[in-house]
Amino acid sequence: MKMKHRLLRPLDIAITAAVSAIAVILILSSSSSESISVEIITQGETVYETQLTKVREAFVYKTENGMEIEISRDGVRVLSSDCTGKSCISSGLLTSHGDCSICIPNKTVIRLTGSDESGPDAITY
Amino acid sequence: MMASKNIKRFISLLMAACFILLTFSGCGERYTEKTSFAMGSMLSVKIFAESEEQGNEIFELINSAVTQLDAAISPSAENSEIAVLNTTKNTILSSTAKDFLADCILYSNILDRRVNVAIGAVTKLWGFSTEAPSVPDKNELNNAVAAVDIEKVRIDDITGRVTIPDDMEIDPGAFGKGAACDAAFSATQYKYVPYILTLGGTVLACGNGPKDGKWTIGIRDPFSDAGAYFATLSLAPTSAKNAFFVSTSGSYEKTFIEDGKTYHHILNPKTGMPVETELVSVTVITSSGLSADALSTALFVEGLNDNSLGYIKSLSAEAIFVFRDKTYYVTDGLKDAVKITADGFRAIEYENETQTSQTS
Repeated sequence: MKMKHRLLRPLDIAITAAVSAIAVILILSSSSSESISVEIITQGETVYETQLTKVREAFVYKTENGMEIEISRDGVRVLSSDCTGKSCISSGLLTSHGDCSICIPNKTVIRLTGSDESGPDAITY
Repeated sequence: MMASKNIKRFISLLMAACFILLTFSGCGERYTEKTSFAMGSMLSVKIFAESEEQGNEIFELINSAVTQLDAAISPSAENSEIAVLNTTKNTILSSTAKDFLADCILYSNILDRRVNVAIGAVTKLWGFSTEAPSVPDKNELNNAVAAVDIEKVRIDDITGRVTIPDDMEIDPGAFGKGAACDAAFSATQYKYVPYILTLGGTVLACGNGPKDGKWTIGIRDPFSDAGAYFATLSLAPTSAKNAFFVSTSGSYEKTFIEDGKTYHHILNPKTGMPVETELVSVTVITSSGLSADALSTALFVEGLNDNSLGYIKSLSAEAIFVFRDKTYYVTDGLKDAVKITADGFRAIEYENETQTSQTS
């Protein structure tokens, strides 16, 4: 008796569906905004870094050059700085990947990084 | 026999699925992101290198090129060649500083001196780069404006000696960041590593971008917080350089309030006063950093008219003009690349002055 060959069996379809579902979940979870981190860089050196999801309660991080930066699950903002222009404060609440606040007098950059690539590669201003 | 066949089939399917998983999960390109400070601004670079070491090497090349140019041309750096020229009025410049100054003069002339590298005496009076900018005395300002005479800059190409009149000062502010982007490009072009660089808002996109070869560049929202953007440009390099440069001039940068009035830093070289205009920003895309910087300032000073569109055409550039009423004008070559991402903005068309006079 000749054996009947089938391209896909129910088990094959089940395995393919299961692995594809896991793949989709992994890809989506890796690109979600939940993986956004805040990085505080002074004079080219990273002085503080954390994932926003790990922040349980909002707190104020003080840099050595006297800047006060509020970090919460919702985002990051500069509360106070002794610079003249205060453009770092006027940057407001940083919430998305790529958002950035720069204090030139204090040579400090606060930026949000992560695997969410939906933002632009650069901003012209 | 049958069971072993099933196991093989199971393993094959599992491996195929894992391959698909790994392929797609690796789609987000990895890059090295580095920052430093140069030319009184932040230098930020995203490098799509094959390894972290290669990324670091590219960043060092960029940082070194920008820092060297800054040391030569920054008028605020005490011992820079331009600072020495402003003090002594007569000095020998290195070929880097001399060529830079010659390019600034060239673009000042091409752009009918809507932007002018000899404006230093005027910008010094306003003090926008200092901690206490203020409105200058009218007589002092008039004298400083009279000193903005670019034809009196003398450059000896052979010796490198440059002389300027006693009352003139050179201010390369409208050109420097763009020139630094050009220097960064020259230092890295034969490494063939894609990267995108931002120096104080001037952008250099080098090589193919991460999204179908395109780079996505946000344009600052003039009506929102610093860092917010109202539109994105999605562009791939098309010039022989395989790179493009983006520069924006906006009245929201470097402002101060005196007697209830807000003053911005983009000065009309002919009056010495901040430009009075309905524009809030102009963004320019060209194949050279210095021309992008110079053109964005000149267009802000000139406004949207036949002249400014002529400048754009002559420099093979594209531009976006944004007005106080949240309307914006995009040149034809850029229309498909622009995506508005904020609410309330409205596109307008431009009717040239000849058509306007014929229809009126």
